[in-house]
Amino acid sequence: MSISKQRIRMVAIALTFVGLSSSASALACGGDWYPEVEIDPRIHGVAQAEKALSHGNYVAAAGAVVRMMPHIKTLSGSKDPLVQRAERVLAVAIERSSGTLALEQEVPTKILGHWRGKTQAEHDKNMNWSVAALRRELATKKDDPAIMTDLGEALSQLDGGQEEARTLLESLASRDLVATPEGYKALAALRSQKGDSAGQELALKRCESMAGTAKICEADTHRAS
Amino acid sequence: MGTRAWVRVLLLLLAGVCVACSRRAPRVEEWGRPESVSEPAVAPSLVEPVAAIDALTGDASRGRELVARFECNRCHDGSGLAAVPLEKNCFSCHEQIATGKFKVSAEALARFRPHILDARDAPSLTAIGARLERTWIRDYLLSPRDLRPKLMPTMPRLALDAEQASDIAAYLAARDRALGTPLRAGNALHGRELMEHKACSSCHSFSGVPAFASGTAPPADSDVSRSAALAPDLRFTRERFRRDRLSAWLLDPKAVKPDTRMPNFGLSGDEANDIAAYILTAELAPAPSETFTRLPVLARRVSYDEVNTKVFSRTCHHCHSDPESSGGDGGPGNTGGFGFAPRGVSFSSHASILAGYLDERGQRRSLFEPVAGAPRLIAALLARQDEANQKYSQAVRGMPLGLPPLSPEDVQLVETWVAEGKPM
Repeated sequence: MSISKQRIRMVAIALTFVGLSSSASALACGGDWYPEVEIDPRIHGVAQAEKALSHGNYVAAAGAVVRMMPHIKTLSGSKDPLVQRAERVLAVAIERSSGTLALEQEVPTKILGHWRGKTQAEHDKNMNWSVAALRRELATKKDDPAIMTDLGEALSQLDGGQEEARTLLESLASRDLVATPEGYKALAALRSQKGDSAGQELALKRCESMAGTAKICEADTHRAS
Repeated sequence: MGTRAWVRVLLLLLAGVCVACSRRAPRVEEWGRPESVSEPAVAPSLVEPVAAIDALTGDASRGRELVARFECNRCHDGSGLAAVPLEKNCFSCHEQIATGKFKVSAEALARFRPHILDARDAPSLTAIGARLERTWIRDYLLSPRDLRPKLMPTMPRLALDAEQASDIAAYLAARDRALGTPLRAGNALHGRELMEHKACSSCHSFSGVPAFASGTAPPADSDVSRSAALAPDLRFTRERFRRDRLSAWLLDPKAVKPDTRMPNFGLSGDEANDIAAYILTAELAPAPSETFTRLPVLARRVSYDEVNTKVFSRTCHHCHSDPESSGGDGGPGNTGGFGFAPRGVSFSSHASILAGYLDERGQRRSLFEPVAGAPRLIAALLARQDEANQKYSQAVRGMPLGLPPLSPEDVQLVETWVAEGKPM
């Protein structure tokens, strides 16, 4: 008797499981079964961050990345192309904000950490991370002028990075491969440091024609100083 | 008999069955489809010996290797090569987007759909040897031209020389090649009347002859309209189609090419000959040449957003994209394909365009360095205009490759953007 009861229980459990697992949703598809498509929301998020960056909205771009991937520092060296793109956005946003990201409005302070760049140590940490992230990307995409331009731009702001920046950017400029107006702006500053005013003027002209506005190319005090 | 003897008998029987099965099973060709699929159309007695094909110029076995190298199977069925995966197939993605089966969000699907409706079909190469002239195949490979007025032309000018084109033509012409019968003389005038009566012009254009009275265009985006789009302009038939097979084709198209969408009109032998006579002998007015007027650069500012929206994202991005942001493989113009080496050109962003391309030695060069008196990008757009008139530049390949040339206004827009310093 006890065996029968146990059997009945088992059958009941099995039937319940079958009932629960075979959802009626297939009928909603007209009897056909379609796999559910899962879309990774980060794809859209990274695309939006790239767009914000291209429009000069560095805080919005960096904020989007840090919000989506607050642990992005721990992902360094990831082979996931999406993570690499996010890293690139953050790296460029950081160096164009000179290591200081005013993200308090975008990201909770708890996860913001050193990205704020409030102290000199945080600022240096951010700039070094930016350069390291761009170097990592360049290692995977050898000789990509767009990454080389960004790296040159970041290096130009790093203590002791100017010489390498100059070599990178001059090499690109000689082949008409400087990929951003900001790259020409950094080159103008580097040439100015060397007393090459004609070269500086030329680079600024390229910056202005490429930017479509002189605003991006105006010298700021923290650049290449 | 003892147990051992029975076991032996059983094993022998099993072995016999296995051998028989292996002989009977449809053998999959080295690269392609089961034999039963590729050869139903041609009666065995009509198949021309392979030796007869080999005697012609061109190496068919080398041609087969080239067909693989140039990835003809990315767009065409019936090449004799295995089907390519979805992400490599030129038209399957478009078809899935059009029918809503592509695995992206509904918003993305709605965004993609308007851009792909023109490119869902490519003619199949099934039984090509039973239909087309080998010399025509060779010439077409060297200088592709628009044969189907209702289909967006997508055949690229591949990076091949005359010898390679001959080899590919030899391979394709040998596929399903069938012996023909000499075409008997027909009544061309009656042939034209029959074409009017059968409404051939519903699907086929016949440029250069007086317009046909009959022929109603099928409803847009219907199956019939897609079939009609694959129908070639009949002015090319006299060089393109094997004369000794034209009558057989008109009598029963599916017997020649099983996957054709051309219907069987139930013609008699005489009627088929009459239609063939008209198609092959009708007087043709000269084909109009494509005219292109290079417009002066605009006096207003052209931003990257404008030129990208109107030209780059609509055209260049198809073959020159960033695999990380666009998915797929980046296209033949970036990561390579269709026999082209990877050129590393991406039209995915302002910066990626300015990052240039890889030359033959793998060195990065600007897309704006001067070539043939113009920045390379502009020179390529202008070269494509010349290619539409069968003039080919050795210095630069016309772009957009395999797509119609840009309009004068679009070229003007790009040229203005370049002249202004490629502003963002």
